[in-house]
Amino acid sequence: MKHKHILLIFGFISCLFILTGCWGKKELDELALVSAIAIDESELGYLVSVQVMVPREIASDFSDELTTVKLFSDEGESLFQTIRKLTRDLPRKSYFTHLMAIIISENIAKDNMVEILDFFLRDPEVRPDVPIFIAKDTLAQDILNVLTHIEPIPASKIKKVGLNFQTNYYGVRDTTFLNLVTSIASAGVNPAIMGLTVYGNKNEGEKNVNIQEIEAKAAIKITDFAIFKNEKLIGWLNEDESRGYSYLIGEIKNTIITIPCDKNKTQNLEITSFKNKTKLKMENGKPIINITHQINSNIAQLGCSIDKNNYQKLEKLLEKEIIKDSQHTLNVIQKKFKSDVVGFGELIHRKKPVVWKKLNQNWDDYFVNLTVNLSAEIKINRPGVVDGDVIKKILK
Amino acid sequence: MSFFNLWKKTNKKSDILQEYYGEAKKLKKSLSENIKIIKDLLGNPNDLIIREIVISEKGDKKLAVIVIDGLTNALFVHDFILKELMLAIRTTDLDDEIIKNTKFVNIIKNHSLPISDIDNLDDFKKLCEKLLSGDTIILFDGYNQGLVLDTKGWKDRGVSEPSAETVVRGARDSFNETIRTSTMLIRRRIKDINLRIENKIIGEVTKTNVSVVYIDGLANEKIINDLKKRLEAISIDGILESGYLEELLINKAYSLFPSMYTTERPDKVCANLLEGRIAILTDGTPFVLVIPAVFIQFFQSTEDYFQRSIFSSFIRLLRFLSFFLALLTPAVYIAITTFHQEMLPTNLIISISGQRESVPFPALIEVLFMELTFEILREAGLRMPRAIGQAISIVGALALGEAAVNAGIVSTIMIIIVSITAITSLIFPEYNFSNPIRLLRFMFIILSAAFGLYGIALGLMFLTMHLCSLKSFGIPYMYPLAPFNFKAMKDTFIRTPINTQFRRPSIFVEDDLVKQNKNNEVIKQTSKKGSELESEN
Repeated sequence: MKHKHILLIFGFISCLFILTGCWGKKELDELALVSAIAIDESELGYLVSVQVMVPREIASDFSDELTTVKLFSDEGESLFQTIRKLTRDLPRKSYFTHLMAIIISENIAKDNMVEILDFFLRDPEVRPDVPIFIAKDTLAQDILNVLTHIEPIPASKIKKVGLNFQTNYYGVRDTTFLNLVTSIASAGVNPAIMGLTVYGNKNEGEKNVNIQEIEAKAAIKITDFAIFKNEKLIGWLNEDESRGYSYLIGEIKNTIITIPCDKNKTQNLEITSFKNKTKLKMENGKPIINITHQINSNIAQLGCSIDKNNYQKLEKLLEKEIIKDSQHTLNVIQKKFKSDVVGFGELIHRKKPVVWKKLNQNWDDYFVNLTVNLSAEIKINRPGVVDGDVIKKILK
Repeated sequence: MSFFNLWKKTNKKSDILQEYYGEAKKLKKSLSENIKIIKDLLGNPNDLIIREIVISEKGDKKLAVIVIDGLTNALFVHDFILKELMLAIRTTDLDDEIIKNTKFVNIIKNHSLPISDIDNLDDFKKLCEKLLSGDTIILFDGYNQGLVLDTKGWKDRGVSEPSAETVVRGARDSFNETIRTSTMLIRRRIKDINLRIENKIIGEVTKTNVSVVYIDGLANEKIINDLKKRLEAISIDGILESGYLEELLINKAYSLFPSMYTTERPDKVCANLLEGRIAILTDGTPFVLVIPAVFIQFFQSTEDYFQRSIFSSFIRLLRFLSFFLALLTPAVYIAITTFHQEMLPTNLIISISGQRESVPFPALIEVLFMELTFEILREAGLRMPRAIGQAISIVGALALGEAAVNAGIVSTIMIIIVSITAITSLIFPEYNFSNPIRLLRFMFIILSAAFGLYGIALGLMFLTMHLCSLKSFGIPYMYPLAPFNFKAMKDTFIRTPINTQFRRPSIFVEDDLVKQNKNNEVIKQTSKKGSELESEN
């Protein structure tokens, strides 16, 4: 009898395995792995383009006859509806867990980005660390229409270019869409994100020709930084201003700074560490912010000769150059955009919550006239592999 | 059992058996009668040799030397029994009176047979048993008693290298099918008066010698008594291999995990005896059972103690890693590729996906197909005649290799997964231990196909519960992990240097816990200062 019971229970349990139907199971060949999504404006509402990876082409030894990715796009009233509408064309379910880039067109960013961000926040498939970019001077769709080499998946190139730019040149604070949402949501800071654009012949970019020759016909490149006021894009910082913005927020890991020294000649310094020491002072009940750039650098390339034993002159030059850029950007964001993208408000909020309570209501107006003092502590550590004034010796 | 019954039926038919074998019937006085009974009892086989020698001058009195050909050392019987007997008879003035003297048997026993193990006998049951285990029997005309001489000697495999447990560094001898050789190999290593070898004959037909070996004072009294009780309770027709005993002695015969350690290495057995364990030797097989066994033991190899502790610790960790790899690799593959694709790095998912594009089956079928193919190949490889080994390996490489991928049946990554599970499941020093892993792997595959990683976690939970519920002769199977014992952890996941291991595992050992005397002056000095030579450098 006892054995019968055990057998019965065992039988029921085995039924569990067969009858569940494996809820949530999805075989790999039933999925369309989306590498990037681009969102543009259209008459209906949205023009959504998804770049789907073709695993067989990527995994194979680069036959170069078929493209590594395919673009599917459709128009619809809302973002999610349009994604589902793509099934008219897509044979597999679009799967967003491996999304590597979100690209939003300038127009959408100016209008209603909140709706889009809401979708990405809610969807369990999208990771919060997906890099987000704004397409400048081009449709977002066009950016996904460019084939790339080295990184066979264009979206992967976009992601890695963003990272490379950030670590070896200069960068923004809001790189991922979660950062962007946080910046939008918190008072006292406004977001700024990187812009992307396509250089070259856009029509050639989507053909394999683009990657078969040494020189690409079209290429995706990082461009200026987009400045937001709350959730809306209000303008762009140009290259120098973008760099100055990076100085202000201290988002520099390693970069090169060029200082003009003579006619068409420059001194170049490699920045090995860049830290901002930010202090908040109250004077007459008004907050004053002091930012000190603490910089370590090495000499990378000299255009003019220097005093071998005394780098102070060079240090002064560098200090002047950096403060000039920072100051210029500060002026632009205070006077032109009137948007606190650096996050001074947040600083006050954190350090002097009582003061912030008063300023909170009309921070945007107050920010325009906020006093910010800039200074820099520069240290030049090494002259590079060669010591001394090589230029002088050569010119002799 | 049917075999046993058959034997009993024939037993009933023969009256002579009932008469002389059943209840220790005494020998007759007449030699010819005795010989007739022996022939009848054994069915007069042609390997039964009965050599009769005339001992009286008249020629009416004889003695008979009885042996089974093949079980005795023939040269030994010729030189030290027949020759000695004949010489003794020839040089002695035998007359009826001496022969009639009841002490005649003792005179022969004490003065003319240069054999160490010699004994009297007076009943047919003992006679047959001794005769069939290779002893020589001498019967005398006119006496209802005889002599039994130890002349066992048969074609023996000799002590050879262990085939199932090889080492690079360490002893190269292994037990063989003769129990005497096996006890010899243990005695040669442990020359302690407390080494106990207790013999017991099990099997009503096979009458197999089973020896219980332990070190008195180290081994746990309770376990020994328990083991003896269980051995006593065994009633079976035959024991052909120690595997019979293994199943007869354990409580949970349905658990997948071995609760006895099986080995053919004498050094391993000796190490276990020193830890207070008990060995069971079985005649007819080189495999010795060691009890009690714990889970951790199956990850320990003798070689771990022969090389430096750091390397041993690394290899230990490697074995634990392999345990999980062998158990879970295919299951995790299924779970991740069909339920949790987001867990894979993009490049990996693309590469797996690219390979799977052309495979027509779901991942589960693919995994089962490959795993079963491997299991079949493994079994075929074990059983096939050696001569066709090459054919199997070629075919095997086709079924589990490039050809299967090119045929579009499986993906390349599947080959790698099967290879990983195959290699990792063979890393354990004890072959038995890979069997539960092989079976459980399939359980995990099905669980993961139904529930994903959730199913794997569930399976691991049940596995842990089962392992913790197991006991081997009263010792918790997961000791020293559960119940946790920090001191015993020195020899589990890692092996600390021998000079840090001062105590024997307290759970097996009765009272003599100290392995190395910590207070020994020499140890103290060398561990503090290092030896003189070292300090000079």
